[in-house]
Amino acid sequence: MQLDQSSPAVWCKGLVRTFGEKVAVNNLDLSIAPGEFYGLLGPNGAGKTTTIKMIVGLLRPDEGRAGIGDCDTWKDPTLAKSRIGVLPEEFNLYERLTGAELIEFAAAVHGVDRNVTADRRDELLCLLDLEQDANKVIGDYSRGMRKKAALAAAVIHSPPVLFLDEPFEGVDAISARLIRRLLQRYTETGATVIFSSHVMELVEKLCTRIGIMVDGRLEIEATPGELMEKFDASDVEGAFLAAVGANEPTEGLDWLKSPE
Amino acid sequence: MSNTASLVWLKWRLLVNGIRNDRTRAIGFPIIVLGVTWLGVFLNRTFVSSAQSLDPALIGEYSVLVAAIGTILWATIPVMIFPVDETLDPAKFSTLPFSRRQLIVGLAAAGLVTPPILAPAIALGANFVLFGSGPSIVITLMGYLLLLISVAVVGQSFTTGFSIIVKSRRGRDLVMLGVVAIGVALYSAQAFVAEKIGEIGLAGTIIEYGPGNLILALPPAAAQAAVVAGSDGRYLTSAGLMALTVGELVILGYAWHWMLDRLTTNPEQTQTKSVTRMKPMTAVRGWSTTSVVFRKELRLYVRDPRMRMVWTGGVIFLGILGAGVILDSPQLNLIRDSDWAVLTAPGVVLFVGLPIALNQFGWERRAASFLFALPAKPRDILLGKNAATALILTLEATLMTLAIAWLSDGWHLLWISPAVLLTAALIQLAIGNLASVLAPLRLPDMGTDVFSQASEHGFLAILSQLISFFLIGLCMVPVATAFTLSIGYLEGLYLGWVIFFSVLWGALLYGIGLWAASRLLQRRLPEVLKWVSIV
Repeated sequence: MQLDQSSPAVWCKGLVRTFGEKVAVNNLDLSIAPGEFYGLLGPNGAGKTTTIKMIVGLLRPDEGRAGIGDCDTWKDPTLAKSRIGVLPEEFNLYERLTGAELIEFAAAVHGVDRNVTADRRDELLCLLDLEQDANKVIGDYSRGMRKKAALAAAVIHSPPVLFLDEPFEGVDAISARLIRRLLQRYTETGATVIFSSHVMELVEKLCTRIGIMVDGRLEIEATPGELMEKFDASDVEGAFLAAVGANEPTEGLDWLKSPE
Repeated sequence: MSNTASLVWLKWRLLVNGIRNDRTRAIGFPIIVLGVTWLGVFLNRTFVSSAQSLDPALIGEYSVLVAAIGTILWATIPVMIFPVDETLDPAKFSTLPFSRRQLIVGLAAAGLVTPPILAPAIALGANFVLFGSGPSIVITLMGYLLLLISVAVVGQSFTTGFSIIVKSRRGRDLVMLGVVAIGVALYSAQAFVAEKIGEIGLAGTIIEYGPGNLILALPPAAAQAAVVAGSDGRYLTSAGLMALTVGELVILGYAWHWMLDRLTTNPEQTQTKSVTRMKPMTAVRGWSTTSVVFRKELRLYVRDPRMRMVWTGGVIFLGILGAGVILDSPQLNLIRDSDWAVLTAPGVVLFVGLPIALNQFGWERRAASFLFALPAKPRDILLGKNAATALILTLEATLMTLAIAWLSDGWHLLWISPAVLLTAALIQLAIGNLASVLAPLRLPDMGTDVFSQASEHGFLAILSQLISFFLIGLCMVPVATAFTLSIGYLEGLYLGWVIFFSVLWGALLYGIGLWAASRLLQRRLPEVLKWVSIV
């Protein structure tokens, strides 16, 4: 399934979400073009996960709209979900399904043909080095294996838009390389990726555009190069820290040196 | 604040914060307090009146028996059904520097900061009526406090022991047998005592089958015996029994600590072999959302021990039936003498299946966010889930029906049973779908298993299920009436029509329920997700 190239692949307008007193997302506007590898950055609690959840239809916004291509997520959630793959931050998987079954389940719900599914499943399991463990239940998987299984389930239907929330968190270097390899192949097809991560090195390497959220607002949007230039930083990490106003702690905590 | 006090404080904060921050807990708390208070008063009165009906010489022995049996029930029932309160999870503070004594004393004390303790506290207050007059009141008070602490310690250490079993996957797989065994043992004991009381009366049963001094090995029994001895003026014996209780509690405390140590330091056994190979989903005909949800559910029914525990209810019933047959229990005459007994099997099974049928999405737990992120239509999800539930219901009801038909010799009504089951299942699923969307119940994550079904939401869970069960019963009234009229009064006249219209009625209600629930789910999907995925 391809999206109309003339309209944004992912968008939201005036998105607001509060949790009690806390405004998690504050009047957020976002427009991501087809084919972009968009990095959504921000410190903890900036509203990145909340934003992604509202765009993919898992969390109802208090105000505003969000959508995939020409489809409003909250008007036709089924259509919107058929266009996306989601790798959530938390491992919300079926512990008692095997890795292979999880992928098959996702494929079937996305309407992928049975034979196509079998081929893609085997290819993904091979690429992500999960072949040996394909018939083990996910409850027995390590963190990295779960992440890879969830990623395979997210891309089995070759969605035009992929949401990745902290895909490299808690993942070892080998698994990270495999995931990166899969993402590189995936983006070569011209698909859109929305990527939230704290691993700045990868953000710099993979993303074509970066949005930085602070306190529920989108403060800056730029390419990695523009960002580094704007903050006079040698890398994206330096630019990010400058953008969110993070300061190095210079004093205090002296008591840590002489514990009682 | 001492470490012991800090655990009591922690339990108190969990309780208070739970009530403040969670509307359902806020609603459920006063209800549960009222419920357990009523239960305590009822047990207290029953205890006092039954004791006062005995020869005064037997009251002491009787009260010791009641304390022992009450404690066993207190410890086992939460495992059999579900607790109404969440206990402190020692794994969460296993990195903190608690000494063995601090941990055990703290946990025992924290075990008293819970609404359900009101029931035994009030029930055991009968001691003050039976033994508390005169100078022995001080001993009664001391014995009463020891008794209460014993109840809390025995209950929590039993729960910990059970946790060790369910911590490993194999243990979780085997726990079903343990629960069936406990159920059958409790029923057998109850049937035996009931039969003996019927034959030789309560006093005769105590004299003939009293457990003697051996029962004092149980701390609550020893504490109760101390109260009795104090009321008789045998102060030295009373002091000795109290010392015995404390000694037993110390030993139990060591055992409890050993179990906690194993629980918090032994990692869960990992399963290295692959699961039983089932036909790959891709190899099965039917590749629609409904069919894959159906197959996914079936796999979970087979593999998830907590789901299996729900269906075990029917197995417990069969176990109890078997025990009744072996013991030749007169209570089975209700089934043996009833022409209609065979038609009640679907009812039993439906009751067993309620926790799943009425909370379809709660069982998804956090995986609901995986399911709901997929482009599945709510109607297809519900249909797939319903089909799996119906299949399990049918299998279990068939077993149950055959068992009851054999017991009651009700083979002639066997052919009607499928129609009754189908109608009842359709009605249950219709109401269940609506309840699942309107009032989903959260379940805790893997690892806490059987005895954390609903923590303090237990009472609300029961309440919502009772209301739904009442609605199911209400919808079944016309069906039951028609069958009763046809079979009971008209010698089977119009039975074919009754069957036809019953199934039609069930199908109609199911259709309406599915239609409404699908639309509600479409609108309420984030709310359902939020509700079921919080652990």
